[in-house]
Amino acid sequence: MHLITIAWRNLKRHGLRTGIALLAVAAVVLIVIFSRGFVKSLTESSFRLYIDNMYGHVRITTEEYALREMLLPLDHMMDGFNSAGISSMVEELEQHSSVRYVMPRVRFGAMASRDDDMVRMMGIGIDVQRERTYGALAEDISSGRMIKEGNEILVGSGLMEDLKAEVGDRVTLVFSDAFQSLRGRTFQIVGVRDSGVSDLDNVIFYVPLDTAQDMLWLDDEASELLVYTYSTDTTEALLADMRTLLHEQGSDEYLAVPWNQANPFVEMYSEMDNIMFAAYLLFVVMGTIVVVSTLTMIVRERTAEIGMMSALGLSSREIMGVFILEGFFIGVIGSLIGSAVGGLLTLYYSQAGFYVEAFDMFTSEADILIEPVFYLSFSMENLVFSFIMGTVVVTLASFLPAFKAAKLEPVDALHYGDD
Amino acid sequence: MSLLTLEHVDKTYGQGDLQVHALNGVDLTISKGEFTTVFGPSGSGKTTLLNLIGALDRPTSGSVVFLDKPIGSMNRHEQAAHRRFHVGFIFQSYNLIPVLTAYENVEFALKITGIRDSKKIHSQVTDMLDHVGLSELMHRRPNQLSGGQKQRVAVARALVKHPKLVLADEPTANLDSKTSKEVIEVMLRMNRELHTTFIFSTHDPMVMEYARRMVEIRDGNISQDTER
Repeated sequence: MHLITIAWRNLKRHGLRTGIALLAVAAVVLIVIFSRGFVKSLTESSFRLYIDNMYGHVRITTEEYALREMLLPLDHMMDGFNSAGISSMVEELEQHSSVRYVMPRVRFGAMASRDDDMVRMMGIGIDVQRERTYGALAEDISSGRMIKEGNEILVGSGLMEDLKAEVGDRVTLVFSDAFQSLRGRTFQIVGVRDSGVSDLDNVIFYVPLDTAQDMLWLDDEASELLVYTYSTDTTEALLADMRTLLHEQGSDEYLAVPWNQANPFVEMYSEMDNIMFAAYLLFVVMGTIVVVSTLTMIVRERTAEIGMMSALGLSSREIMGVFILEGFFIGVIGSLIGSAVGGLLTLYYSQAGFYVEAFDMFTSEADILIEPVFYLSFSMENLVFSFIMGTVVVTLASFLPAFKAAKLEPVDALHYGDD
Repeated sequence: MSLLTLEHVDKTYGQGDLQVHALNGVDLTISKGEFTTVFGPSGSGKTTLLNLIGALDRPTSGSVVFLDKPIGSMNRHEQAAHRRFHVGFIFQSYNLIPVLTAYENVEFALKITGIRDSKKIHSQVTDMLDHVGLSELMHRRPNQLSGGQKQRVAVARALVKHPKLVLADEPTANLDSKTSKEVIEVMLRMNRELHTTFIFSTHDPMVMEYARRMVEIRDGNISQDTER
């Protein structure tokens, strides 16, 4: 008990140094909390974008389509189980208990002429009713309305600017059909989608699925099926179900791929937790260098005092204990301060969000879906994790100066500085 | 009755050409209840002798036996346990724990012996502080005490666990003559009342006058050993 009292009071005795060490630990814990909130928000929001717009929880395509996807081929379409049509395949998939939504889509390339420029874009034929039920697309409509039928299109906000068009305008698009014939059709813009993600808003427009099939000379076909289950956590079960079903139906030419394996960036995000854990640890270790330096200086200053404690009969372990306790207190208090401030900051930015301009610029250059406005993820788990990490690492780091103190020969320590 | 026996004790520091022979074949026997001073010029080996007697150091050769136990050959842990229970130290520069009050400094020395009975601890600590005349100042920290008061706390701390031996290395070197006299009289009184054995080193002739046995050291040898 007395060792605890001595350790606690010694912190106050070396007030300035203790303050610096506390600040270092608090700053590191704050950075860890903020970074974890940021990375969690980044990955969750990015995963959500990929799931909503690109891959579902599981995406089913033909193997050939997956290989040539970048070219938006129209000659490797899915035509359902045993060529019975995509509509019946969708209905059959929807019967499965692990399936919540199934959305057939047709992707194709198109162009439009504006002044002297050609505006390139990607069209996506969607099952309007099913997409409306899922809701993600409809949520992003910033003006006008969702497409219903016929030659109506929903256009991304950036693409809208390139087309210099407004809701209600008509626009003629040029595209190749499934037979490689160049064709054109005039559509009416009925709505604008503004997702905030340049990669989606600058190039994509949406058209009803049956219109897309008609204009592209496709039968009851789709380039992909996005299959959704009830939670991201149950993707593996859905995948197993889908693969079993495809095999049972003799449709082994179809490929079912989970969202987290469909894109190298998504796979990289999945590894981000492990990479970031190493980064957090590095941050904390950097902070502990300050604590170790502080305690080492304190040990040096208190060498004669260590000699006296040794003369009184304190064992090496008890002397170590005093300095480890001091490190522990610095770890606990510093981590508490860092957790409190980091928690408040994260909570604030989880409501207010903040805009990262670099991401906006980056995503417009690269083919990556990242929202430029982040709402940090606030969680008690994050605070507790960072607090424990800060406390444990700082306490462990204090073993080094504590060991040095305990190793001092009592007779040398007592007469330290006599000369 | 013999408390402590040193036989042919050598202590050498350093190696090769830089060797310093601090003690050369010292033989000394200390009986229970003695009030002995070790004196001699600076560098004669007084502090080395006290360090060996107090199990703070080990002899290069020879034996140091304390109540039939060879403390010179004990390991670090055993030496610490020996000091904890059997030896009290009083230092020239007081060496109190600065973050503890006078009461807590004395209490600390008692608590580390394993006593848990808080009433017993309180009574022993207050009695001891009363003995050294510091009961009024027991809640002051060392930086709020004078040199003499600090040394009285150190005396109380050394004696509170009723050790068999108290070693004091120039306990009055930092004190004026009046305070030196007060401190040495407190030590003498404790020696008489508690029959604790005291060995202290000093340069001060006035302090030496209080000793009943005077051991002079010169160049690492006992040159004179007188009882009065």
